[in-house]
This record gives sequence, structure tokens and C-alpha cells, in this order.
Amino acid sequence: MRISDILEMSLTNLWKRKMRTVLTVLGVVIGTASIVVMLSLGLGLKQAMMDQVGSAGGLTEILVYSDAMYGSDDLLLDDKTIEVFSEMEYVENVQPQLIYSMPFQIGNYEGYMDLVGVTPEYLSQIPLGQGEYPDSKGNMRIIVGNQVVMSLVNMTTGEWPDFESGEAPNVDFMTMPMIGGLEVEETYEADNDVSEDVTDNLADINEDFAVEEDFSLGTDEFNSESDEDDSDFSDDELDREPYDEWEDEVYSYFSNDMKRVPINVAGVTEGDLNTYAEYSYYCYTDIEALKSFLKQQYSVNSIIPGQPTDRSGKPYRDLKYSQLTVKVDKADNVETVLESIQMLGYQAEAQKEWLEEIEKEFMIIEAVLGGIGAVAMLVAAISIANTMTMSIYERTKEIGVMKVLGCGLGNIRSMFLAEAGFIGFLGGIVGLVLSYTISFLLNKFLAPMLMSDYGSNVNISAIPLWLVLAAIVFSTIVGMVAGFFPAQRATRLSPLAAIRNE
Amino acid sequence: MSLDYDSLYYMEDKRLKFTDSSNDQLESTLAGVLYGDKKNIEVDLFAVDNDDGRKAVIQVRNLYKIYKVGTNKVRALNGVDFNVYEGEFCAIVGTSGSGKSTLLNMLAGLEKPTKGEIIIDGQHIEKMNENQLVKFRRENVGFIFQSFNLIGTMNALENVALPLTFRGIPKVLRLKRAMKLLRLVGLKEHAKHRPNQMSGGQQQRVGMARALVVNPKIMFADEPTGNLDSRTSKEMMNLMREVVNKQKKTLVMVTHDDTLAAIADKVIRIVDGKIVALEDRSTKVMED
Repeated sequence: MRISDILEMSLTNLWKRKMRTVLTVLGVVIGTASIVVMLSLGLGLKQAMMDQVGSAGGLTEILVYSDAMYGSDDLLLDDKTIEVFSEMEYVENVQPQLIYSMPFQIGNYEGYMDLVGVTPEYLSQIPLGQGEYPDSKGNMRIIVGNQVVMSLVNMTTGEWPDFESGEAPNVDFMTMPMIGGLEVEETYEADNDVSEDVTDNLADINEDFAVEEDFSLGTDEFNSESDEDDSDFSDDELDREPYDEWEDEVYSYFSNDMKRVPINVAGVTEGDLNTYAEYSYYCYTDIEALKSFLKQQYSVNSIIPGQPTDRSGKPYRDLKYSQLTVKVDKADNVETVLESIQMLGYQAEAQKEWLEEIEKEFMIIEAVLGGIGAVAMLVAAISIANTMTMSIYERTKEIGVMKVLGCGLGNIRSMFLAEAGFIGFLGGIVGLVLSYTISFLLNKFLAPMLMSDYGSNVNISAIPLWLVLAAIVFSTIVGMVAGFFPAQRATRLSPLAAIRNE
Repeated sequence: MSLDYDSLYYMEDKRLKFTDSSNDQLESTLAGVLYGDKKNIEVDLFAVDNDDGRKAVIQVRNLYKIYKVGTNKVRALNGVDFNVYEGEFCAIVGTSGSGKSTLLNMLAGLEKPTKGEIIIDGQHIEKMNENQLVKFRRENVGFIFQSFNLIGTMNALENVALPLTFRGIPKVLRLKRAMKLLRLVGLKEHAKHRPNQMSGGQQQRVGMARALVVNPKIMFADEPTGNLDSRTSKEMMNLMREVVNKQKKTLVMVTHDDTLAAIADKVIRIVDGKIVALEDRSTKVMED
């Protein structure tokens, strides 16, 4: 028999029993749609994550970090390291980051900021909501993350508005003055350096005065307030009422001996309180500006908090970076560069490595989701098998007649397999249409609620082309597998059925 | 014709068995009825005793069909022997339960005999498996059913063309050939009609055309007029007679009706699984 004839006869038979065919196909439609939609959720989430990392250039970046300031044996990162890395093959550029943490006050509130000194290139890609980008010239100016405000604590009441009432304190970084607290320097003392230290210290003291005069112009009230806090604290201690009065005590990030320095805010990152981006909780400034700020505040031999010291506890002459971002020309070369950096003994990791891990995890998620969807498909397969068995019982006589007229056993099997395959195929096609509809609705209504962390306009459900093809092939195969045993049964029916007269 | 009786080995069940004879000579004189290997050749006496040059298309030898019903054995066929010759219209007549339908089923390869041989066109069909039987029917046999058994979803033309479909013949060609046969049975204008739009007589004529469409050597008809009234039955029988005469087909028909059997060349009467009478009227018909 010709394949076209087999297909035509199968379609005719399906058409003859429209209602039953439609109902069976419906089962496959639901089965296909449940698998496809489930998988599309996993794929959509992965896609969103990949896009986020990819758009930040994460796939071609290697992060080199050093925990030397916390006392580990990590190699230090400085300008020499940058030079070494820059000369490596495939490396496009190396961008250092310097992190300096300090408490700050603004209005009646205070908080703790991680100030990240970055290159102008990095700085310029941070989306700004208000203000402008700072540069390396003049006084250091910073960009405040849009969610930094949420960490603010009221100095007088000790209230943490975001935590307690979910409301952000009414603070405007752009207009209100901000004061940072610098830890008083610890000076490395060595006998042969005494004279130098003394002069440095003298210089520092002068600087201190200068600075305090500077900011006292606009920030008198904060100063006096915090002074009051501090004196309250010491009063309590004197009165020895450690527990009863505890609730009234206000913990402050500032210690008495901290140096108060005005911080100039240049801008705030894009987004409101509920929009999270990777910049939201940090403050940023130009790395050169941060360096000169720190050099201005701390004398040569003093230990800058967060900076490593050598074995004898002596600070290094130059500032050490917290991390370096090594930009590689292509994602394929990341592995090579990563290896050579690690060979040199540095702590380094690539987003790509991490992404591969994530990808593995997503495969598990997809397998689980797909498995849930597959239950519906299993039911559909049973329904196909049932329909085919019914159909074969009904057509016992017809099959007998065909056998008497010389229809090959293989052809009979093919006819029924084709019929079952058609049910699967049709179900697959319609199921995909349904899947696209559901996917569209999910992306339109559910994604904005669940996926805001990944930015706006992100899809929760994605149906790639391979999934479309795989769904059609799979549903057709499921149909044929379900139809196999009924078809086999049809070939075994006796041709005598044609002779019998009911 | 002479046989070398010196080499006669033994005789059993109306068959001569002998060895070591001049094979070539035997083959030329007894074409189509020699079987066995060179050392052990069997010659069919029925074939031998028909010396008018007709070829036996169907040879049935010592055929038994025994059904087990509980502990009882029912002998549906209890040792049947006969030949059907090329171009012959053979009627198998018997009452219900005589075993005539069982005989036809076995001739068409729809049932396996318990014992015995069926040789059609030189092929032992009792030894074939189901695939071979289907292929055999596809290539050699046309079948007419009592209840017509047309496919309800197909029109007359498509029904007639169906056996050609199984042979893998392209649609255009098979519809053309089917149309020719519909014309032959006088149903040209009903080509587009579904079975339920036609009378019983018309349906059976479509069945006839379907059996003829593959140009088979042999046609089997199982009570072809069983579902028809007497007038239509008469027409049907005449059509079958005409086809046998004009198309030189061999036709084996099963019926319970003696009057219908009268039109046949040979009538085999079966009672309780045995042939009780074998009327060969071929010579008479030829004389007519």
C-alpha cells in the first residue's frame, strides 16, 4: 500500500467519528499544553536570568577578589596586578573596584554605606534617576543606590521605618546634607618611622580641624544632636541602669571618636523603593576620587579601615583594591583566562562558571515541571489507547474484509498507527496554540507581579522553536506508542470476522 | 499416455506413489500435478484420469477439519477430496452445518485445516503463514461475501478500487480500472453512491466488481445471494455465469439452494463433512 493511501484511509476513519476524535484530541491538547507551559516557565525564568547577566556583560567577565583585608592569605590586588592581567591574551581591559564602608547621617537618620569606587566606564553604565554622574576632579561626590534609604534608622527614636512600618523615611539625598563618619586612624608605629609619624599626625590634626570647620557650616544641628545622643549614652553608663533604660538607648553607627566628614551626593540611581537592581543597596563614586579622598583623610602611615597590612601590621604605601573585573573578548575565552589567573594564585571566578551551575539546576527544575505536565500526557495516551481499542472492536468486520481482500498485516498496523499518530499530531498542534495563548497571558498578567526583580518587560514563560518542534514530534510519538498495542491487536484479528453474519 | 508401472511403489488414498522414474517424461505429461522430490514423486490420479487437457486450479486432498467443543470432537470436514478446473463454475451445496462454509474458508486460506492438503495453482496454501496467505489472496483470489461487506465510508467506485489499493496501485489507475468493472456489472451511474444509497442487488454487483478488479485466477463466493430476493438472486447468478464464461474465471460458490446451484458446471454436495455426490456437468454445458 502507498503511504498516501494509508494516511488517507486513517484520516477518513478519524473524520467518520468526529466527536470521538475531537474528545481524544482534546486530551492530547491538554497534555501537550501542560508540558509545554510547564517547560516554558522554567525556560522563561532561565532566559530572564541569562538576559540579566548577559546584559551586564557578565558572560565575558572574570571577577578577581582578595580577602586580604580580612586577614586571609589572598594575593593583594593593586595597579601592578592590573598591569599583569591586562597583558594576558584575550583580555580587553581590567577594571578595579575599591570598597570603603562607613556610617553616615542624613536628616534625623543614619545608616551604613558600602562606598564602591569604580572606573568612569563602570560608573557611566549605572542608570541614574536623579542628578548627574560624578567625576574624578574636585571633591569626591557619590551616587546613592535607590534602596539605600530603606536601611536608614532614626537617630532619636531608634526607629527603623522600613522594617517597622514598611515606609521609607522622608529623606532627600539630593538636597539634604550627608555626613560620613571616618574611623580614627590607627597609626603604625615603628621606631625608625617616628619622626615621619609625628609630622603625619600633626598634618592630620590640622586636616581634621579644617574638615570640621567645613561641614559645620550647614550641619550644626546634626552635630549637636549626635552629641546629645552620645552624652545620653555615657550618662546611662554612669547611672548604671543597664537594662531598664536599654530601650531608650539609641544605638548609633557613629562612635564618639569618629571624624565627621561631609559627603557630596551627585545623584541617585534609577528606580523607586520597590525596584531592585544590582546597584540599589550600594553607593558609588569614581575610584580616583575615592583614592584621593582616602589619602586626604588618612596619613601615609595610618591604617585605613578595610585596607590590608603586611605581616608586621604596617600599611602599604598604595591602596589595595577589593576586586578586579577582568573583561575578556569572547565568552569562549573566559575559561582560558580564568585558568591563567587562578594559576597565578588569585581568587577568581567567572559568571560563566556560575551560570553553568545555574543551568544545571534549571535543568532539574525543568525536568520536574515537565514531569508534572507529563502526567496529563500520560492520561491522554491512555485515552488514545482506549479510543483505538474501541475503534478496532467496532471495525472488526471491516478489518476482516480488508484481510480477505488481501490487505497486508503490516498495512493494517500502519493504518491504525497512523490514526493514533494523527490524534497525537493534531493534539500537539492545537496544544501548542493553547500553550502560546497561556504563555502570552502569563507574560502579560503574571510576569509583572512575579518578575519585577528581573526588570520590567521580562517574560516568565518562553517557548523557543525547538520546544515547538519537540512538542509536535513528542505528541505524535506518544499517539503512536499508545496506538501500538491496539494496532497490533488489529493485525491479529481473524479474517473470518468478515464471513460471519450477525 | 503411459506410466511405468514397474516403478510403482505403493498406492494410498487414491494416489500413486512411486520412485526412480523418468521424471522428465512425467512432468511433460502430467503438468501441474506432480509433486514431491525427485526420489519420491507423487502423482495425482484425479489429474491423470482427466485427459481432456484441463488444468486443475484447486486440488483438495484428504481434508479434515476437526473442532473441539468441550470434550467432543466435531468433524466439520471429514476427509474431502476434489478438483476444480480452470474456467469452471463450481457450486458447493449443503445444508446449514454441513461444513460447506468451512470448506470455502479453507480454500480461501481464512482457516487452517486440521489435516490434508489444499493446492491452489500449484501452491500448498495449508502450509502458508498468515502473511503469505494475505499475499496469496491479494494476488490470486477475488471474494464475494454474503453480506456484501462494502466499506461504508467509501462510494461504489472506491470500494471496487480497494483491493488495488492494497497492491499499491496509484489512485488514478485504480479508479480507472474500477470504473471499467462498474461498467461491466452495469453500475456506471452509481459510481458515486455510498453502499447505503444502493439496493442489495446493486451492492452485491459492486462486490462482484470488487472481486474482479484484481483480475484474479479464482473467485470465491460465500452465499452471494443469501441476502437477496429471488429475482435479484437470479440476476446475480446470471451475472456470475456470464463472468465465468466471458472472463474465463474459476469460481467456487457456496450455497444451500439447489436451484441456484443448477447453473454451475460442477456441484459438490456435502453432508456432515463428507462429499456425498459430485456432479460434473462440464461436458453437458460444453455440448450446449
